[in-house]
Amino acid sequence: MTRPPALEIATRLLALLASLSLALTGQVYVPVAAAALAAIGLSLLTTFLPSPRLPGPRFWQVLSMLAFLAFVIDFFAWAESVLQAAVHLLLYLMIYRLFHLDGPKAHLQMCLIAFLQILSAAQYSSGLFFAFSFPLFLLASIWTLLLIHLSRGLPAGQVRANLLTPPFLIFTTALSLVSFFFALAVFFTVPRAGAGLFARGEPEPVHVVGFSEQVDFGSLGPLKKEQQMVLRMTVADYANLPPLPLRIRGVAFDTFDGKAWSARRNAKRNLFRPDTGPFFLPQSPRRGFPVDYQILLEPLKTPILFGLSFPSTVSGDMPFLRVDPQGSVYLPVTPTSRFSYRGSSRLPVITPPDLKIERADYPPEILKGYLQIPPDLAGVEGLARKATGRAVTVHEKVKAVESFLMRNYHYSLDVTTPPGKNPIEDFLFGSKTGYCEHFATAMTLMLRALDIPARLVTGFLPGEWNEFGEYYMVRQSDAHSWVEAYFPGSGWMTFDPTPPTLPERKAWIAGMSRYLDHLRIRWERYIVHYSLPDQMKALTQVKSHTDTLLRLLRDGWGGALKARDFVYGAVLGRPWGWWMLALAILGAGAGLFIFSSRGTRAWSFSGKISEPSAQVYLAMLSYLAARGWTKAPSHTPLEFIRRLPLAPEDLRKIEEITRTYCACRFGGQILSSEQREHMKGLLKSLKSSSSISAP
Amino acid sequence: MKFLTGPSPVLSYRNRSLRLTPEGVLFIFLTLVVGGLAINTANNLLYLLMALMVTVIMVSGVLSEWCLKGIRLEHKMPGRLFAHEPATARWTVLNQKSFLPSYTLRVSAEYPHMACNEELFVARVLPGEAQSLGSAFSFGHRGFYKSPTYRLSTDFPFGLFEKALRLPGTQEVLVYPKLHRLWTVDETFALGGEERSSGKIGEGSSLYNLRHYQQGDNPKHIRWKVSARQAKLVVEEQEQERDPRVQIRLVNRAPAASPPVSEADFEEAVSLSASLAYGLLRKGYEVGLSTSEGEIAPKRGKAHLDRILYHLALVRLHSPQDPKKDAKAAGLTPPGRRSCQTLVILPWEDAAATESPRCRVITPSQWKKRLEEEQE
Repeated sequence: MTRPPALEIATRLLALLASLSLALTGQVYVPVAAAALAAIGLSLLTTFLPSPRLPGPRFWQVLSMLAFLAFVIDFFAWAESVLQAAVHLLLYLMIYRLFHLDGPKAHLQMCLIAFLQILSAAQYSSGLFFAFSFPLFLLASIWTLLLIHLSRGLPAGQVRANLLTPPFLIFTTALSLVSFFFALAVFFTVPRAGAGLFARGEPEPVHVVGFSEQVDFGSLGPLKKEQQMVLRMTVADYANLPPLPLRIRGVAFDTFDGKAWSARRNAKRNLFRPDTGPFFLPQSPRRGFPVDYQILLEPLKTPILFGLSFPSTVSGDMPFLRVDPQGSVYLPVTPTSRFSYRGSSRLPVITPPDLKIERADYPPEILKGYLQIPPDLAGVEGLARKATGRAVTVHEKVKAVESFLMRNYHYSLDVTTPPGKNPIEDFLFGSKTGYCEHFATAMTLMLRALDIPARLVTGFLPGEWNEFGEYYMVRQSDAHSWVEAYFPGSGWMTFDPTPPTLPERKAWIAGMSRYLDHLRIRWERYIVHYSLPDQMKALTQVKSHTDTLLRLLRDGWGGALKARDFVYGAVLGRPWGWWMLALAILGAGAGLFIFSSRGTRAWSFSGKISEPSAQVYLAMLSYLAARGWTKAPSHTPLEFIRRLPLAPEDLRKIEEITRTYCACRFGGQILSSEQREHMKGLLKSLKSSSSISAP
Repeated sequence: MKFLTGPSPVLSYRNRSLRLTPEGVLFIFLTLVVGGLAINTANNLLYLLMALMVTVIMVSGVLSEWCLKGIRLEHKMPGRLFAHEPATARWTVLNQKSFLPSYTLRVSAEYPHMACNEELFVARVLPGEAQSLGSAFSFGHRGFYKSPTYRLSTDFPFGLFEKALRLPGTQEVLVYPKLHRLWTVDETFALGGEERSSGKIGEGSSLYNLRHYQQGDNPKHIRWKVSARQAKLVVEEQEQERDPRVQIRLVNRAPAASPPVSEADFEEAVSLSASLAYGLLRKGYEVGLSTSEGEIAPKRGKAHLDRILYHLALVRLHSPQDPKKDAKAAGLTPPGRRSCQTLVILPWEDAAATESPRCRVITPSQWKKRLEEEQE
């Protein structure tokens, strides 16, 4: 007996989705994953061949023994965990079963193996690919289980011939969709009583350089080639931001020894917040354009708390903060998981008096800390004077140096310094090619050579704007360094001598990447990290909204109008409002369906029913009545026929309809579909008869 | 053929019952395992998997309800039912729903003490469609079967649960005794030697009279040789033959002195009586039946056979009474009808039972031996 191809394909699709999910976790050896995927493809191919030549039992016996041996070695020597060795064995079982799908039971076992694969994958990872693989797995599961079920009760050919119709496929797809929404409803309502006793460990934090108290010169270069996400930042009132550059500040450095930057003024002190409200940072500027933002920080191997230049307040789930005299903010400990906090900053704006100062009077501590130049860089001052030319004011000099570097030096991440040469000296007087660190260091040193206090800052550029989630995506490649120069009236002002670079990725790839990142954030926020507090919050909101709604509805018509606006604002106006409404309608529909079927007798041997024959008969009576021949209540159906002055041919049709109706109505006869169609045909031909058309 | 009693526990609610299939047991077990894992690991993806599995269970319940809803059944039993005789019931399954089909329906009618009942399987019934199908069944005992339970079930969509509707019915079925195939019934029990002449003119094979031909006589009856000798047309008249008559006397009240009668032997005696009546009537005999509960005069025809079988379907074994009544009731006294041969069916061994040319006594050892010979 040949299995229907649809079932063969569905089972392999299920195996493919489960194996892909497992492979994407990165916990399966690449050769094993490749072998499993190749086996799925090969076994699918064999279903299309009329008489495929497959290996015999001897081959499978030997292969099974080898697989078991490999499992034992894997378990004791190679695998990082028991689960990993078991997963490899599971993949072999899948391969074996794929080539031995010889009945519904074997297909069911294949479903079980696929389910165990998905289960293992879920324990390994919570990546975004589950957002796609779960619904597809559900669809394939429903399709496969239905086909297995139907193939059990019928000969194989009948499954293909009679049941695999387009409506059936539409039905299974719709069923999967409905099931998925039900599953989401169950998922969000099941109480999160998880103890997390055997929770899997947090992912390894991202290693970033350039954010410690001492940074080797040139260390940002390799970092800028990495695309790993570092943080995401949403900015309040984004549309009304002034055209000022946004820079996410990390650490400021005051001392350069020719090979590394370091923060000598690093005496940190603990900062505690008031009973309520945010932390107020001591170095916050008094002037500037206020900006509020929220940062979702990936786990990084640094305790630095990033914020827009220059942060004034910070609020979040941290007991205290640590700050140094240069305005760098630190968390008490390095976070091991994703961390979210809010901040407000003032974007620096130089005051008009500072624009006109030709010789500034700097405070002694500023002069002491921010004019240091390595002794072997004697040519810097000459270069700085050359760059400033005829600039008079301090601000003009700073801008001149910035412009000089931007115009005369080239940006490149591929920088090699000749052996024995100072890299910054080579940048300034030799290759004139470098990246942000070279530019910022050069400008800092040049400003210091002109007796303008300056320091180097490392941090991140805002990166890519994600229009789908309305946030900035900041990757490691957005790591940046820039310059802060001191002005007596304005304080520290930011300058960036690094020339802009064009994005390397194609627009559509970047767009897709942004959309995927938006989905990833949603996935992780609403699925992966959905927790008991979220449920409590949702319940509290529901209670609050219900109370408000009931209060409004008690106020008559005016209250009802307000309630309508309230519902729109509270539910439908939200991004997921319409989905929630659709889910509620689906749930109510299912409830009604179940309730109505419980309350009525589903079938009966004696109940009065609306037979198809009765419908045709009533339609005939109605048609005849419209033409003047009305059946009196005192007449039986057959008496009524005898009184009709119609042509014999028409009477024959009327009599056949009437007798069939009587047989069904009083004799309990059940019409087959062919008989029903025949009755309808009789009525149709009756209506087209010329003898009846006129009353 | 499949016995309907299932081993797994059944949940019942408002005529509906839910039974877990082996796959369903595994599925529930896996759901519990995943739920336990989710709680222990606080892994939301495991919660999601568990939610998917719970949804599959919910969807199974809703879809199976949808399959059973709006189904109308018509059940027709055959006219004569014999114990241990497989028969076919006719089912008509109508889907009264407007636009939703029903899949993988199983239908059966269950009577108490039913020996065997084949479930009817309907793969799909489209909306408004009726399907007529037959299902085999058999009853283990003769007698009235009342209060059937009609059962409509489905394990759609995934085969994890079997949801069944059970509704009580009012249809009554009378099951006749088990029939043995007695191919040579008259020879087996040495029947057929009695007088068959009636003394009346009629249709028959023996000559009654010769007379002159009259207008309207059948030319086939002209005796040409006699006519030639007398030079006049002479026709023969035939004597109407009377059908052979057999009165079956089933002894269902044993005398006090007789050995105890086992229920099995009595059932075999009833079965033999029915088989004899059936076989003899088919061979053209007039057959009557007498028991301690009454007597049916010998006649022919299908309606008469039904009357005898009806009586035999309900006849019971009575306890012995006083000796005088016993002797009469036991049928050991010769019958009053002279023109009728009598077969006395004894459900116990009785060496003292007297036989005559017109009264044959059949004991269990005799009929068993004859039945074995018949089978061979």
